[in-house]
Amino acid sequence: MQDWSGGSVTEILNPEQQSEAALPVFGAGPRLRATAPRYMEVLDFLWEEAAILDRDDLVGWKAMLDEAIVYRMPVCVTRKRHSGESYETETMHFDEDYLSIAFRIRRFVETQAWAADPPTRTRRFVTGVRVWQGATPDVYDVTSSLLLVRSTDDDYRTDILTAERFDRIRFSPDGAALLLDRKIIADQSTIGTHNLAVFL
Amino acid sequence: MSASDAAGDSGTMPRLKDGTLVRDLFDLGKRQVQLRVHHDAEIFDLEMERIFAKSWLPVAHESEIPNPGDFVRRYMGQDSCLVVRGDDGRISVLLNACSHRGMALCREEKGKAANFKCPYHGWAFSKEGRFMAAPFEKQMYGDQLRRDADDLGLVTAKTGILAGMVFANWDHEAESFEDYLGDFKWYLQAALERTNRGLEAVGPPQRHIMRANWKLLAEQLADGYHARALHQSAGDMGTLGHNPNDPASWGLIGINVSTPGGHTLRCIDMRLAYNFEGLSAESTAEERLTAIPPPGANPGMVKEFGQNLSDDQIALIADTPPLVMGLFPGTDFFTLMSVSGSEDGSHGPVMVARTWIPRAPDLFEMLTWILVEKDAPDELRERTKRTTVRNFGISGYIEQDDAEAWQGIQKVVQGPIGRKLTGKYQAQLGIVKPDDFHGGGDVHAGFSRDDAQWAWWKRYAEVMSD
Ligand code: FES
Ligand SMILES: [Fe+2]
Repeated sequence: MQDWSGGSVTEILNPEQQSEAALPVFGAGPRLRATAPRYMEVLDFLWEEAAILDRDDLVGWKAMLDEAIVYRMPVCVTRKRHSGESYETETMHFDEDYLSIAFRIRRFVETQAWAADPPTRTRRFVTGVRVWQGATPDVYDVTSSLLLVRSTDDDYRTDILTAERFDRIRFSPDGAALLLDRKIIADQSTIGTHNLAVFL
Repeated sequence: MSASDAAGDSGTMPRLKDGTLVRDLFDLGKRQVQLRVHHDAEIFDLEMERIFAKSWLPVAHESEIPNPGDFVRRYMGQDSCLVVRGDDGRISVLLNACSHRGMALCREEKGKAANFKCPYHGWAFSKEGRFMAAPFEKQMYGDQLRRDADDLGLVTAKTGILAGMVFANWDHEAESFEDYLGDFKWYLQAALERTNRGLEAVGPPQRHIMRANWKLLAEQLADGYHARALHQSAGDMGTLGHNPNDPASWGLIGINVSTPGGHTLRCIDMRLAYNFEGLSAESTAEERLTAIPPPGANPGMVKEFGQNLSDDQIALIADTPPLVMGLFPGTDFFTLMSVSGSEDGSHGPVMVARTWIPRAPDLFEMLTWILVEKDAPDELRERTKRTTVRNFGISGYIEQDDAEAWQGIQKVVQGPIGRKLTGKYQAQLGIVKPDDFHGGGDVHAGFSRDDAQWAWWKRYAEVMSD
């Protein structure tokens, strides 16, 4: 079980921890304050991503993914506070890489995929963004809270999914950002929507 | 007065409040079902008593609770239960309700316990559900609880195991698990109990909701016919229907099997559907199994099959493997040989066990376990996990589209005019059993018609209206 609690804001990462051999745990690097220019760039990336997904521009979203992306959403189960056991389990809701995401996107965009035609409408609210210097100088570890509200057809009821996301975002020298890793931890152990024909 | 009371002592059949005999919801001659069965709360209540309180239901895979004291909390119909591994290794299924005043005993979904202590007043129960002790017992009760201890245990279900899946039934008078499986045991063993060490679940099941009646999934298991329209995109993506006008490539030519007990399975004729990897319609069982091992297995495991299966069972999984295996009312084992789910063109198997928990007439919860061979090397294990998740379950691109049909029908039955419609199952093949087919049950070989689906409904009608 990785420690997702994150390092302190002032803590400076021990340089030898940055070697590729021993990838530091997520959020172990120094945390960037919300005033840092790079923090603002990360925030801008997440907002852009949410808007693109909300507009159902899946091809546009694919362009925001690093080809080495690992995209997972574990099944979680309710445990007792002092059980010492993780909320996460080995079963996955999503277990994706770039080419499997590309497959899903092509299905939605190019074929008669009833689950997304007509498309459901989604609104993503991304808040509580925290950013740490990641394993290498170009990578940042990012956690955020996601509120996804999903509307289907003319149903007045909405499905609500809330989750914490653990992202790794890579910046190229020209400043462009790509999503390198995402782990989604939903708050519901029974997911309250009829399918995950949406990306979180 | 509930609908079930209406049966009364006079021996009359259950009748709904509007006077309709439940029996009359089914037209056995025309093979039609009134769609109000998916809507009416009265029918839902009858189902809970007549079906879910008395049927064999899957609750967990034994690999989820490997050690003494391990437990998971699950549902059987709307009743919460605990599935617990005892010190002797045996598994008990207990109603998750304290015998004192009915408090839910256990509030986590998974854990480890030496015993179960009720949060309310602290009565304690063993892993097998026996009443053990109460706080301040002497002061509160004298020796009364000691005398009554045998009657104060938790409600228990009887249990059975198939392919490591633990089944339970609240009704201790119900038929044995063996009798329940009946002719299907032979098929299920062939498909799922083929290796020396057998299957395990990769973890707890996926759980998600569906805004539909549970029967819309349950009755669909034997429905091959929907593949071409509803799963058209799987055809467009190259997973199914390689030749869109050839029914075999949609898995529609094969052997459907049903039983009077409402079990259904669909066997795909591999000799028609899968003749690549150097195979032809004349290939032997061994050639076929080695070239395209059954879902979740590899050629090394194929060598073990002979130690666990008869020659006839091996021929079954080589030539006409059961891919969708439904047990009435709430179990599905769904396996696929080789499907994609990635633009890299890689293929892998799908291996799931599923059940459905009715929550309301228009809502059910779906549980999907991913199964792998215990002896699977890491590569096969990972591939099975990934392909399964990408194709099936909550995010699976094939199953995403099934949800549309279930919810689409549910919308229609909300209306009084819509629910006067009937579901129609008139396409019948009858009993067609090839000479070289050795399985039992009612065998329907050929184009996948409505026979098996109708067998499911006949069983449902019988249980609901006798
Ligand atoms: S309800 Fe459980 S001890 Fe009272
Ligand atoms: Fe389907």
